[in-house]
Amino acid sequence: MAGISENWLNLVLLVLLTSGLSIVYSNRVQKALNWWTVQTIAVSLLILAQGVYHDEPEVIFVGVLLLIGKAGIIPILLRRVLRESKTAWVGEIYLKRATSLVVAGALTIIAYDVTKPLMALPQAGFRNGLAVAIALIFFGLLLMMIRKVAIVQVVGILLIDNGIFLAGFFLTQGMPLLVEMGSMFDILVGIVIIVILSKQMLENYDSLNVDHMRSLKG
Amino acid sequence: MANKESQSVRQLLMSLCIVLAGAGLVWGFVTSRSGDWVQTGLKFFTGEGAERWLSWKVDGLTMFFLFILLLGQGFSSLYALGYLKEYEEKKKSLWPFYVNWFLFLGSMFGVLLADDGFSFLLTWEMMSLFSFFLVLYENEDHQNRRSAYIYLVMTHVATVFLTAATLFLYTKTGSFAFEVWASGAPTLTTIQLNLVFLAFFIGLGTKAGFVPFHIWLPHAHSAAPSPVSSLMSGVMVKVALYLFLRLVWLTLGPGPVWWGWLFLLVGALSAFVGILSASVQSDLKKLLAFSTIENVGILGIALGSAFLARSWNNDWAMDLALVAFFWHTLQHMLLKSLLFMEAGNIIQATHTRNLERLGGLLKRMPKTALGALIGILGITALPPLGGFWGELILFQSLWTNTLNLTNGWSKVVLPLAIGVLALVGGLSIATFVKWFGVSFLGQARSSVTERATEAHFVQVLAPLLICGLAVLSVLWPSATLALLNLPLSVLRTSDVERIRLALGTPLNLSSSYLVLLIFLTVIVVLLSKRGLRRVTATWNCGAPLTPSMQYTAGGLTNPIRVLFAKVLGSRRHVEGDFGGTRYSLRSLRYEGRIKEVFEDFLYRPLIRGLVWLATQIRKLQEGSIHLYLGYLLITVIVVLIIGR
Repeated sequence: MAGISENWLNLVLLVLLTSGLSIVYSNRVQKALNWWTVQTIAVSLLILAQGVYHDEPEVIFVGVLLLIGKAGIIPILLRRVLRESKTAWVGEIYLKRATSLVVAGALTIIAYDVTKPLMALPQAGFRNGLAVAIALIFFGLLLMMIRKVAIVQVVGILLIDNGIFLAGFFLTQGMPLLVEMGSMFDILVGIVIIVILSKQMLENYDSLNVDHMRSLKG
Repeated sequence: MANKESQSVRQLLMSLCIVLAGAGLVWGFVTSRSGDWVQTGLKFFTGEGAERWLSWKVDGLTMFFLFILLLGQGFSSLYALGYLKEYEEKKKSLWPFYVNWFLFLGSMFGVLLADDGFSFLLTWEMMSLFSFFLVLYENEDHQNRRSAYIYLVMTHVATVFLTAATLFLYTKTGSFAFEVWASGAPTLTTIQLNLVFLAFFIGLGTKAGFVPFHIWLPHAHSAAPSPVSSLMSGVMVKVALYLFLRLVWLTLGPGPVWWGWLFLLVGALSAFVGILSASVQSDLKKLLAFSTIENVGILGIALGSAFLARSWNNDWAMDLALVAFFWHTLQHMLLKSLLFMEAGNIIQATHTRNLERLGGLLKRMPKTALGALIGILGITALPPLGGFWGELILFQSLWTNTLNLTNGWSKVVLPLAIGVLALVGGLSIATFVKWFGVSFLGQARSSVTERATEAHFVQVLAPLLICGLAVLSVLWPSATLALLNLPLSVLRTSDVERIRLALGTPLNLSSSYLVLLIFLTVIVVLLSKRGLRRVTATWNCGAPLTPSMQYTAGGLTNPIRVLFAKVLGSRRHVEGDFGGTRYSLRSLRYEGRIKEVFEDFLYRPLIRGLVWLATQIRKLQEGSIHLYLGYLLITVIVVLIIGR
């Protein structure tokens, strides 16, 4: 594990956290999507570096898959829906952008606090990594809660997925290939379904505002 | 005409009720004369050990109330035998009535005999449920359905408190049995003991009709068919009071002094509010129902006096208060069921409950009027009938309690209770003068009243039998005292004979008063027969007499309505059409309204608060995805914080 130096690791973590916060702070869906793409690329680079340093082809394979599948296909799919829906703004409810950033900061602190007992990880940076991973999960949930455009909520799910992936990575130092591929395939299929559903929503309501779905209640 | 078959069913079932009641009474007389089980109690179907449930017991206290119940059952069933004929003629199925009638009576037996919390709650809830169905029997009327619903809600809320207290005592003592509770009660902390007491007080007080838990009572008692009203008012309310003695006096034991004060003050409030509301009512049965609240209040004062005397170790006052309690319980049961029966007769004859439409029934229903007259003499606490002696002993008890005190403010408040009792007595006379005077005297105020005829034979017989019993209970006080001795020997620890010393003289005198009164009546009747009575038309300045010249029911007690306008929240609105001059009146419209003070100031805000709370809670589950996701986030954070 000594492969990635502490400095590099911290740099990657900085990118991850900043991108997470920026997603929460962004006012346009396009921007949030872009930040998420940046984040996913950072995650795949982290995996790739891990694989290269330890000379594990499996891990490299996972990294490449991530780069193509998640950072490549998903943003393209979502961008297409976005263009069709002509939605630009994220649709704030409950919290405005500034407030949500403050809340996200508080959630980061909580994430650091709850990972305190895991200080004993092999590398000091890994504990930071775990905290950031959990913070990303929180951000994802927060984003789904305080935004009402369906695509932003999808971004929230993807954020959670990144967080879970990172947490798994930092805790186990490389999950088995099968699990990685499974989880990635899972999220890919999920996104495809969500895209279909979003198109359906667009046809029915001419908008991606999830509030419209309330009229479906019996 | 009525179907032959349903007629024989009615006669069979109601006779069965009467025969059972008679058999029970005979059994009671025979067994209660012998044996020491009166004090220790006779147990049957008792389970094993501390974990027992569905166990039953008879002791002197139960026995007294069993007598009350059996009397009520016998007389009400006899009355129902005639009363139910009307439904038969209307082709209304009587089976719901029969089934609930039997189950209601049976569940009241169960409540009285229960010896553990489980069977108590079970039979108590059955009693509430079946009486609810009986109140709902005349469900064609929208107003009756509403009344029954209010009753159901109130009784349910009461059961919540009782269940809480029962389960609490179960967890503390590990048993449902009343004995185990009694031995476990001293180990409770003061706060626990007081909370259990308050739960019992609210739960049982609701059923008894204490103000401010009384709001269901006037509705339910007036909506029910008359035999049911007489049973509910005469017996069911007393069953709740019985439980005060069983669960609070005997089980929770001598509590702090404020328990007595609570009974006393709530009793005084109930008596005052009850009779005040009764005095301004113009509904025949609602007035009686409010009078029931008044009498329950008087019984509450007696209980309060007994509790106070118990905590001040004033045996004398305690004996007096308990005797007053049981005496008045008996008398009120007799007289109030009697009055409800007479009200039922009037309603069947005229098909109206509105006093303003009655009048002149004395000539048309003389036997009903005779029973009603004796009934109101008794219930307004006029000597020499039973109501008077009960209140007299209560006065004595309160006074003895006061004399024994050195403490400042108690010595002021207790005589105030006497004052309230006196005020209540006065108001009750006004109330029943109105009740009797407006319905029986004068001229008929509507055509339906003009066509009224005397009720069915048994419907006249049952109240007159009760009259006889009420007179007998005063004429032969030692028998009544022997009956009162049954519960007293359970409740008191001191010697039994003192009660005779305390009461022997005035109560034995009571029969001589009665004899004197009967003697006087005979003389008056004889004198009037000898031509000293002159019968002529009432002089009315030469003009003919019309019904509208009489006092109206509203007008008769208008002074009370004006005097207590603040308490009653009464409003009136008079509209006169004078047609140009000041001296001749073309038409006059009078509108009087009584606010339901307790419903407006206590229950409405409570209900509004509950509804508000429910809407707030519903917001938690609005179907908003964002909110659900928020719960998810909060849950994740909480789980992580707890689990680290």
